[in-house]
Amino acid sequence: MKRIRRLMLSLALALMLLLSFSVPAFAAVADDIVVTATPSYISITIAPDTWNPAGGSVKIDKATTYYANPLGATTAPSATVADGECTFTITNTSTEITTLTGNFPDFASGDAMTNINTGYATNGANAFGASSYISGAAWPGGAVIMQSTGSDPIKSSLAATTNLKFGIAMLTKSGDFSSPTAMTSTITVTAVKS
Amino acid sequence: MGKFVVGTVVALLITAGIVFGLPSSSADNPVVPVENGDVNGSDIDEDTEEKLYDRTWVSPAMVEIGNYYPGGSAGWNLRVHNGSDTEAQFLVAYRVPDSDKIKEGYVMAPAEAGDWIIVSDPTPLLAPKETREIRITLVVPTSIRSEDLPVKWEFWTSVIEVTGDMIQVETCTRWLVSMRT
Repeated sequence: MKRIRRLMLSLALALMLLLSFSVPAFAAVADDIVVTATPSYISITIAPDTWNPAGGSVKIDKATTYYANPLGATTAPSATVADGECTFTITNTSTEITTLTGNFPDFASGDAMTNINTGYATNGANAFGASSYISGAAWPGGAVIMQSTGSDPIKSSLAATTNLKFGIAMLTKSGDFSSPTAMTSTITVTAVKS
Repeated sequence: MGKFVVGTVVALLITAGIVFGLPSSSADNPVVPVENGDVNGSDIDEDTEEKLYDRTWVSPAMVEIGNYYPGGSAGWNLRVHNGSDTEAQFLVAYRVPDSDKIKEGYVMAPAEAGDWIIVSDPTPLLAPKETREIRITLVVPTSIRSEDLPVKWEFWTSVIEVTGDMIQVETCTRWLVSMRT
């Protein structure tokens, strides 16, 4: 019995000593790098993922405004843009509020138009202008200039799991097209947590 | 009394072995950082991932690195999921944030920050419905003085599915870095 008591006493003393040593060690966590994140998902898809501004395989003309509008390639949207005037649907299954931005880089190959970066209402001899519009927004006042990089958002603070329809307006260059080779550009829509 | 002393010493040694053998973060060795990033249950929302099985996604949306100092290593596993029925090629890279979207209280990452980010697999090819963990690690060289860095700065990582189509999606993760002060 005495042995057990001694053993118990020894353990109690040992624990007390350990606590006095270990507390400062655990308290020092603040000096370490801390990396944290919570599960959160950014998930968007865009359909369709191609756009020929003139429709089908039709070649584009110079100094012409084309719209990603199912009602017509040269038909401007209504004063308040309707769903049916937007070619593209963003299916958003993100769990976070997101901001969406669209950049429209220069065309490469063929006549290689450059983006004038001032919107769909202006062009240059070898430069095109482009803007995006979304369903429910005012046209043309609510259009957003699509620059080659650093555009303003197509949509800020889009609620989680909320879809969005959008279209594009593009004014082609004022100079003649001369190359028989098709030119291409890849529009990138960026999604980031707001 | 002798047995009592021996018993105390033995108990102390055993208990010390247990306690000090456990991983702990100690200021006694501040040059060895805590590197969080091993994905565990708390990092995955299994219900959401099940719902998003047929969607392509990136997680997390934001990572915060606190108490950082040059020479330290801080990483996290970015999870990329291919929700399509075909294999998909992705590009994973450091990205300069859009200047108008920097989080309040933070500033743009230093110009050379792209050299400090290590992406374990920059061009992953994902099988249909595959989820891949890609390690993103921040290591600022010790030649950079802490006082030469902003106190709070932000960089992004970008994940792009390379489709070759005219419209492509880029999904970005925010990385918020707070320096040790």
